[in-house]
Formats: sequence, C-alpha cells, structure tokens
Amino acid sequence: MQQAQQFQFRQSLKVHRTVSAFLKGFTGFLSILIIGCGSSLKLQTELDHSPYDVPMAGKTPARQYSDSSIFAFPLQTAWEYEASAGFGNGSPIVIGDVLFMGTLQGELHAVDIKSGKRIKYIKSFSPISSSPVFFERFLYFGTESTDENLTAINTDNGEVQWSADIGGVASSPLVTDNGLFAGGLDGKFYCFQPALGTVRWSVDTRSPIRSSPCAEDNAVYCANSDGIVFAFDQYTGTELWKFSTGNAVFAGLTISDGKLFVGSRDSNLYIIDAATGSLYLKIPVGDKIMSTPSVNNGIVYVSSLDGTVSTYKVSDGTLQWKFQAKSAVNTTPVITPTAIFVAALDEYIYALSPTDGSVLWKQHMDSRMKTTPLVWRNFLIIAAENKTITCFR
Amino acid sequence: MRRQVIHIILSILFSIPLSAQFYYFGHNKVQYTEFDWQILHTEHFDIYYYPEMKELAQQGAFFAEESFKQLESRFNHSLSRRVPLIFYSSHLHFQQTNTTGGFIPEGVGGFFEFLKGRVVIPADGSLSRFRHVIRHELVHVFMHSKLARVLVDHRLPQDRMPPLWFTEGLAEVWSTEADDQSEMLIRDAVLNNYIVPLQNMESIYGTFLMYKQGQYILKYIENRYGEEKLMLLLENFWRSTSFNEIMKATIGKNYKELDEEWIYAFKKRYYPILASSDFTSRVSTVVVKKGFNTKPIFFRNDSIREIYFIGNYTGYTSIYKTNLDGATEEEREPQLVIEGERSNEFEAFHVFQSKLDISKDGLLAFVTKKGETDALHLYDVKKMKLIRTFQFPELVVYASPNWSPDDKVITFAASDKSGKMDIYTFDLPREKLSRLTQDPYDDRDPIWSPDGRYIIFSSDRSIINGTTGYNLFQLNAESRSITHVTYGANNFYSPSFSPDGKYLTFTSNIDGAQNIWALSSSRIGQTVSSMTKMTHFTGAAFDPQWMDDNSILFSAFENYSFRIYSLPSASAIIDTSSVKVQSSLPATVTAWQPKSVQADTAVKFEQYQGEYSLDIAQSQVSTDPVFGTSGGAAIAISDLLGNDQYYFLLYNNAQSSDELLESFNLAVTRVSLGQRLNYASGIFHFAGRRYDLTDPDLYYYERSFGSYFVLSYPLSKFERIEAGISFSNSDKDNYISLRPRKALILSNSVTFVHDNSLWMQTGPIDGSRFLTTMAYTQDVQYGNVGYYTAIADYRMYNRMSDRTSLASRFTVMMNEGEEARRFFMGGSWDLRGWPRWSIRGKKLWLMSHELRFPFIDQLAVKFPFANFGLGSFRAAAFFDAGSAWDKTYHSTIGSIGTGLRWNIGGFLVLRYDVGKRILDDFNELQTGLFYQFFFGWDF
Repeated sequence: MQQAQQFQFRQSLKVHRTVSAFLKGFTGFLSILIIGCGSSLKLQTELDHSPYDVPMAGKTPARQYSDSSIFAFPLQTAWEYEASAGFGNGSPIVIGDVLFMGTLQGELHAVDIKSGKRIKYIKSFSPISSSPVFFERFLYFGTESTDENLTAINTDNGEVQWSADIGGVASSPLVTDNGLFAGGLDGKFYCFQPALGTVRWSVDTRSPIRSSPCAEDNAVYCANSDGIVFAFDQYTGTELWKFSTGNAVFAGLTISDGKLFVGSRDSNLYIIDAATGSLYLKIPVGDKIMSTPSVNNGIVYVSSLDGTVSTYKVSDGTLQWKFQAKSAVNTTPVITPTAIFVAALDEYIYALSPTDGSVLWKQHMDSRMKTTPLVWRNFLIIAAENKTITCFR
Repeated sequence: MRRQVIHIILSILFSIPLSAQFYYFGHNKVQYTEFDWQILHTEHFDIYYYPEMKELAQQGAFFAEESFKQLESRFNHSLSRRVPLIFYSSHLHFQQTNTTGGFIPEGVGGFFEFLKGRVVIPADGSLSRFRHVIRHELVHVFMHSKLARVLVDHRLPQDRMPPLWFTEGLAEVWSTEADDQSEMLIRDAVLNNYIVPLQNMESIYGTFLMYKQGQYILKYIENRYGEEKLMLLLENFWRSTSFNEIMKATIGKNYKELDEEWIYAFKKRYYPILASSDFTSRVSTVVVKKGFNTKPIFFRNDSIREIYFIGNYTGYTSIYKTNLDGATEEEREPQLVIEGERSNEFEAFHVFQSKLDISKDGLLAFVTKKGETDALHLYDVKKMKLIRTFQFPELVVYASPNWSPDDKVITFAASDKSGKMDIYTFDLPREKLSRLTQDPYDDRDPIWSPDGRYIIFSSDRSIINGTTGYNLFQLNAESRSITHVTYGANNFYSPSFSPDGKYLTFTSNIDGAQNIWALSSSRIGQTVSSMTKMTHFTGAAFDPQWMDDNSILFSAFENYSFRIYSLPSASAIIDTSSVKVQSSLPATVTAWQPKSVQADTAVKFEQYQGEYSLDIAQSQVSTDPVFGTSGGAAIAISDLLGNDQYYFLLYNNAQSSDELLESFNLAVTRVSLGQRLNYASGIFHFAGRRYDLTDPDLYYYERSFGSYFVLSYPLSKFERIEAGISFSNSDKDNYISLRPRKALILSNSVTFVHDNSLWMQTGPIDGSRFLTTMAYTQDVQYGNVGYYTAIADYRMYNRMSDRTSLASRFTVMMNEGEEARRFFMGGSWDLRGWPRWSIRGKKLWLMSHELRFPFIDQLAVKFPFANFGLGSFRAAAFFDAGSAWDKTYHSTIGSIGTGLRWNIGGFLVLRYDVGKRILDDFNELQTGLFYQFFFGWDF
C-alpha cells in the first residue's frame, strides 16, 4: 500500500511538472468563443496565456492563495466594472488578460483585466457562487441549480462541451492532470474526465459539499457539511482516510507541505497530516471559519466570523499576530510578499503587514465584501456587494 | 391618536366648507409623559432614551453590541447602516410611542419597524428579558437585511418574506434558550394533541403558540440537521417563492416530511412525562371552569368562602369572584366585581404581572393602569365599593400588593422611570411610601412574613453556576438586609404563607415543569433549605394561595387555557411527599453586576434634535368620468420618534392646458404628537370642479385657499375633545345658475368623542361610542355663507353572549343657515338597501339595530392538491330607519334584512346584505328584495 502510494505520488509529481511546464511554455493565443442563451455570444479575444494566470481559486490545486506580486501603497483605483448582480464567495480567475467572474444572477462575465471593459458574458440562469476553473481549452463552472449544474465550455468553438447534474455546485471545482474534481450539493464528490465529462469515479460523502477541494500529489481532499474531511486517491477514488471535525465545513481546504488546513464551523482550525489523516494541530480561532485558510512559508492565515484574521506558525500553532476588523470576515486572506489582503463585511479592504498585521493601507468600498480578493501581477481585484468589481493597482 | 388627528385634517381639507360631515371614533393613544429624548451613540447603534433611564440605556447598549457580534456570526452577514434603538423603561411608556400608529397590547415585548429600520423596546424590570428582547428584535433586523441582500444579489424583487412562524421562530431560537414558558406551552400542546403541523401553521397565525412552535421546530432542525441549516434557509431564499421548497432544498425534507419527523420526536420527548406526572385537571378540583382565569385570592366573607380573581370572559379583563359555597352551578358562576378596560380608572389589569390580595376586613388590593401610571386600588368587597386609589408620582408600574399581618402596610413591587423593579411598602395610616430595595435586579412577588418583620420576595439578583434564575429571598423590613430563602439555579416564584404560618409555598421548575413546592417556615433563615414537592403536573402551576381549610388555590395552564384549581389537604401532602430537595444557603447573596457601555471614543451622548426622513412618497394619476383626469403626489416625512409629521400634497386636475396653472392643488400639514395635546396646522389651496349633493346634482368650480389649526386633547384612552378652526377664501362658480359666489369663510368646530368599544372580526361587539359636534361656519367678508352644524351619534353594543351582540345606533345631524351643506346617506354603511348617497338633506336622522352573531367558524376547501381555509363568517339581522330633509320633513324610510360579513386578512371586511326597503312612512315594503355587496366594518 505504501509502495503504491509512493508510486502514485511520483506519478503525480511528474504529471504536475509536465502540466506546469506546459502552462509556462504556452505563449500562443486562444480564441474563446462562448455560446449562451441559445444564441451565439462570441467572445473573440486573443488571450496571452502566461505564468501569471490564475486558472482556479487559490491559483493552484493546493489553493494556498499566495502570490509573488509586489505592491506599493497607497493603491489607486484602476477601473470599476458593474456586473449588475451580486457575487458569491468564489474569487475571479484570470487567463491571459481576461478575468472571469460568475454572478449570483447566473452570468459568467469576461472582462478585460487591463481596462475593466466587458468583453462578453453568458447566462446560465442559475447562480454561480463559486470560482470557475480553466484547464487546457475548457472553462468549467458550477451553478447552484438543481439540474445541469456543472458545465464545461470548449473555448475553441464556444460551445458547451458537456454538462452534468451533481445536485448543485456551491464550491469551486478543481482541476489537476488527473481530472476535474467537484463536490456536489447531492453529497457526492466527483472526478470527471475533463474533456469528455465522463465520471471517472464518485464517492457519496452523505452530506452536501460546500467546501472547495484541494489537491496535492496523488490525493484530493474534500470536506462535507457533516464536518467530515476526506482524502481520496485522484486516480481511483479510493478513500485514503477521513477525519471528523466538530461541525460543518464550509471553508475551502488548503494544503501545503503535507499538511492539510481545514477551517470548521466549530471555530477551530484543524491542521491534518495529509498522508495519514491524523490530527497535527487543532487551533481555536474564536469563531466560525467560513473561508479557506491561506498558507505561505510555514505560516497559516485564517479569518473568522468574529472579524479576526489570525496567523499561526504551522509547526507549533503559535499565534504570530491577530488583526481585528470591525465586522465579520468570511473571505480568504490573500498573501503577497508586501501585504496580506483582507476583504471584510465592514466594507473595508485591508492591506496588512505580513510581519505584524498592522494596517499598511485600507480602502472603504461603500459596500460589504464576501468575495475573496484576487491578486494578479500588481493588480488587486475586489468584488463587492454593490455588484461592482474594482481593480486597484 | 395620530389616526384621529389625520382624519380630522382630512375631513377639514376635503370637506370645507362641508364642515364635519365626516367624523371618527376610536380609542386614544395618550402621550401622558413628556420625554426628554437623548441619544447614545455606540459603534453600531443610535440608542434613544430619556435621562431617567440612562443607566438602563447603557446596559441595553451593551446587550445590543454583544448581540451584534453574535448575530454577525450567526448570519454570516453584517449590517451596513446604524440601527436606531428606541428604549422605554416600562411598558406603560412604550404604549405611548408614536413610532407606530397602532395600539400596543400588554403582550407585545418590542417590535422592529422596517420603514425607518427602527427597533422599539420597553424594559420590564428584568435585564435578562431586556437582553432577550433586544436580541430577538436584532435577529429581525439582521434577517431583514440578509434576505434583502440575498434577493438583490440574485437580482430578485424584494417582495417576499419567509412565513411568520419562521421569522419569529428564528428570532426566538437565536435570542434565547427554551424557557419555562416555552416548555410549558409546547409540552402542553403535545400532550393535549393541539400541536400544529407546519402544513397547517396558518391556522394559528400570529399566536404565541405559533411563535413557540417555530422556535422549537427550528431548534429541532438545528439539532437534527446542523446549526448551519438555519443560516442556509436564509441563504437559499432565492431558490423559490415557496418556503416549503426552500426547506426541501436546504434539509432535504419538505413540510410534510419534516412534520412527520418533528412531531414524532416531540412525542417521544414528552409522552414519558405522563408516567410520573398528571394533567392538573385529573388530580385537582377546577374552581372556575369557563374562560381565562388567574391570580386567585381567598376571602371568607362571614361564613361564605369567596375567591377573587382576574378573569376574561367577554374580551374585557376584569376582577370576578366566585362563591365556593354556592349550592348550584349558577350560584357558583363568576360574578363581576371590577369591570376593567372600559374606563380610565381601570384601564388595564397587568394580568400576568400582578397578583391580588385581600385584608382580613375585606379590602381587596389590586393594581390597574390608570392614565399615565399604575394605581393601587382598595376595594371593600363587603360594601362593594372602591374605597381608595393611590398613585405615587415617582412610580410608574406597580405589581402584586400584599397586606401586612396587621393590615396597615402594603408591600408591592414597582418600577420608577429608571426602569428598576424594586420592593416598596406603603403605610396606609401615615400614607408613607418607602423603598426597600434599589438595585438593577428584578424584585417581584413580595409577601409579608406572618410576624410582619420580613418580606419574602422573588428576585434574579443571585448568580448560581453562571445562571441568574429567580430565587426567593428574605428582606428584613428594618435593617433592609437580604438573605437567601432558596438557593438554586432554577426559578422560584410566588411565595405564599399558610394561614398558620407553618409553611411557605411557592412555584418552581426544579425538576422541569413549574410545580408547587413548600418549605417549612422554620427553615427560613437557616443554613440549609429543605423543599418538598407538592404537585406533579404536566403543565405549569402559578400563584399558589392558601385558603383557611388547608387547601391551596392556584391557577394552572392546561390545554391552552388558564384555569383556577384547588388542592385539598395541603399540609398532609407536604408531610407525605417523598420528593424533597435540600440545598445549603450561603450566608450572603452573591449578586451579579450588570454590564454596560461607558463613554469613550466609540460611545457618545447627545441631545435628540429631531431626525427627519421620508415615510412615504406616492404619485397617482386617476381618471373619473365626472371629474376627469388628475394626477399628483403625496409625501409624508416624520422624525425618528414619530412625534412630528409633515404631509405634502400636490396634484393637478386641469381638464385642458388653459386650466393648468389654476388647477394646482396643494396642501402642507404639520402634525405634532409629542405631547398630550396633539395639534395640527396647515395651509392649502384647492381648485377644481366640485359635485354638489343637491337635487338635481350640480357641478360647480371652486377655488379655495387658506389655513387651519386642529387640536385634539385626550381625556383618557376612551374620551377626547377636539377643536378646529379654519380660515379660507372661497370663490365659486355655479355652472347652472352662472352666479359666482365669493366668500371668506371662518369655520369653528368642537367635538367630544367617547369610545370604549370592544371589536371582533367584523366590528364592535361590546361597549359604547358617542360623539357630539357643534360647529359654525360663516363668511366674514361678504356674508354669503353662515350656518351652524350640530351632530350627535350614539352607538351601543349590548353583549348577549360571548360572540353575539345587539348593536344600536342613533344619529342626528343638522346644518342650518346660508349655504348650509347637505348631509347624505344610503348604502351599506348607513341606510341599507337604498342607493348610495341617495338620501340627502340639511337635516338627517338615522337609527339602526343589528343583531350580530357567528355563522360559520371555519370554512375550508380541500382539493386533491391543496387546502384552503376561508376563515370564519359572521352574520347579522338588521333594521334601519331614517330620513333626510331640507325644510320640510318628507317621510320615514328604512330597511330590514340579513347579511354575511367576512373578514379577510384582518383589515378588510366584505359584507353582503339581502333585505327589503321600507317605504312611505313604513306603510309599504319593497317588492322583491335588494342585494347589496360592499366592504367596511360594522357600525
């Protein structure tokens, strides 16, 4: 069993490197054609695929929400985009120069990230509360409708490549070289063949999945509303282990250096050994955790509904610093070398010092924020409840 | 009161110079107290309070901020605006609020008014209940904001709310734990089989049972399906207009499936109680069988054993007595002693808060609301006469008077303007009021010890194992020192000594349901308390009181009703009971300290200056075959406390472009309600074609402009005096006679209104209403107009049974003089069967008699796919007579018939009458029948 895992681990590493190399070396242009509403809504924009792309929430399958962009404060507003509907928790993604963002009205917007101009949008007629994911030439997004709620669009021809019903999607799908992974509100965790939409495997976790999965090496991790965290083999769907937290898990999962980070509604952050499923650390953070913890350089950043953003040393759980917003925080702290960006329900976007949590810069947005910000190059992109996406730089 | 003033204004605006053709009855909301409003600004709230209750406001502010943090987490949401919280230190002050136009019954603990986003909350002496209500209302605020957000995010109209059982249930489940009262009700509902499934929840719409069922069902969902499901029910609100479907999408069960689950779970939980407990009615003797009865007190009136109690059989809460020694059922029937809620003297009994007591000589001590504050009354039950009434300027709310052993001093609980509920004594011979406690704790139910040295009372002052339940305490009347009588993390209420002073009985929920317990008086003041359980009821027992025959009187809740029972051989029960609880009593009371916000950078105090905002803005275009097309807008603004209101009316009824400028109609009105004397003033300009109710109908053009001033002074809740004066210039062109008329009209009126009627679904059923108006209108410049008006209208409602009443109306109206206007009648609201407004004259009389009775209590239609309940129908048999004339009396006419009345949604009554008109001085009946359909309340 151990040998098999090591083999799978090596295979996974190899595939991962291949994909990374492919992405990094890909400098061609994609022509995206999106079809929606029964009529062709062509989005013919030449996309310069680049290493800066954020193809999924958290940037990589590990969902560490860490970026190397450097910011100098104060930031200035570069553009604003009116989406005319609210946003869910899922952050935007970026491919080339195009930002993709779903709305709760069921529209998937494509926006020129440089200018903030709308390129096109399609309507799915059901709320998109999670982040889309881009892989090869396909754009995948989930909706909360009760039928055909996971959709793949072939960006070569703009047509819907396939769609599936998994009971509704409230978490952000994940893609690796081994498949497209999505948790359904029907309680099942699915692995799809990305291009064809065929189900490679599925496992019934017996409770709706609202937590976005993460993956590392050969394993993929998910958690359900009963608070149970699962590790599955990416190829076979074999359950590697499971772990029970004290309450529902809505926050997405993060993995880093063999440690899985799980924020639970029981107000604890669980650090679990990703290989064995054994509890490494359990850190009480003071209130319910609704958003994915972020990790970088052995420090985990976690926000909770009491309005705090806390940072802990992964190795021993030592509190590094704690920041208190005026209202609840249900978004993920986004890590950059110069600042930790936090969007809060108190209508402020904060840039915190990575070293001590002091406020380097803050901006009142005149609207609550429950969507995790996106950092792309030196752009900070924020979707707020006033239906507007704002870009700072 | 606001309603009355507005009606007066409208009548002046639209009937000048008709002068008081329209008038209104109605109770008065009296602003007895002048509040000096202040604002306490905290991080998230603007708290409105008056200086006397500053400490309470700071404590409430703490509760509000504490709740805010917790609700942010519960809702996964935050509020983006500051929340106005308006605090009152007592329910009596709360009843004077102008933030709502309606009357606030005693049972309303607070409300959230979402037009201005205001939360209005009274304190009642208990800080824990104050905290509960604040949190309850803030749940509504958060819920309202969250649901609006969810709908806006999904680009859906904000035109819906979840069902009331859910909104109130969530407010309860997220603001408090299940308390004695909730448990009592749900347990009783399950054991007596009146628990209502979600599918039929509309049948108990708005009732306390619905609130509590909602709380318990949501608690069940939280425990069974996860606490996050309650939040998800809100976040899934966009999914459907049917909450049944939202439930299915959230927990996987629709109403029907969930009903099967939770009702079964509740049965599993409560049925086993029957193994060790009994229904009160099975093991006790019912003393008063009918109606709603509580707070009994025993008195031996010479040889006759009498029980005095608060009861409600007719809709009015009153004091009744029953003769226990009555030979027949009829002799034991309750007899009315003090009729409540019909006069200023006994405006309201605090039926759940205040007990009665009676002296050895037969002086019944009781409390009612009387005007601005409560009053302590002494009523001689032998002479059947009210002896004395006391009101203490420094006190607002009184409760539970209790005679000292020598019948000279009364102790009672009371709160002052600060909202603190403390223990007082009133020395009758010296007429001296003394305050024995002065602290933030809820002190209640005081009674004298048999030796007159101590007062035993219930209070939430101690903290035991982190909880602040109510224990019994002994207060030394001389030294004011306080020691424990009971010590437990439960609730102990309503102490009462046995006649021989040997036992102290009380109620407690030590082992679940609230039952009667006792302890030996010799144990009071000792270090160990030993309590004996006397009853094992499934329901709840209240206010045990000893009789002189070793029995205990008490009221109990069972089968959704409060009744009075007796428990014989009480001392034997105490001596033989095997259920005893011992507890060590600490030598001192460990009191908790209330938390409050203090002035700092985030907390600021300032004087309230008036904050005005828009209430309503409405535009309208209407087309009338007679008056043509007109269009306009009305705007109303008011201050945050609702004390000052402004109304703006602007419309144009030009029929051609030439008339545009001269056809502007404008009115500006200010209504001031902040003090007892309400007044309104305004200016107006009206122009357009009018319709004169002459024979034949005439049209004329009139342009009038002027100003008016109206006063309304409530003498009590039931009576008021109104006066108005208007001064206007009126130019009139009559299209028939082509004789223009100019006038500078001065109109004065004065009105007295009395109304203590009690209403049921379709109109008044008890009480009486009376109105008289005198007015004079004259043209002070040209003498073209000069007439007087006299109106008298008397209506009485003779109760024949609980739901049957004979209503009678006698109305006389008279306008006499130059250009006197005509009155009119005919139609469903007055002289039935006759065409609407067809009977006209400067003099008019009308008499109506109507027998009102229930017809169908519930009409339901059951389809294979759904059920519909059409509610109840009432019926009436009526006889009307009247006439109208100018100079010569013509003939008396009338009508006779029967009809149905149907109340829809609590505010609209549909009426359908069938009958015959009576013609020619009652010498002729109509051939055939008339059928008349209309809407409106019964007279």
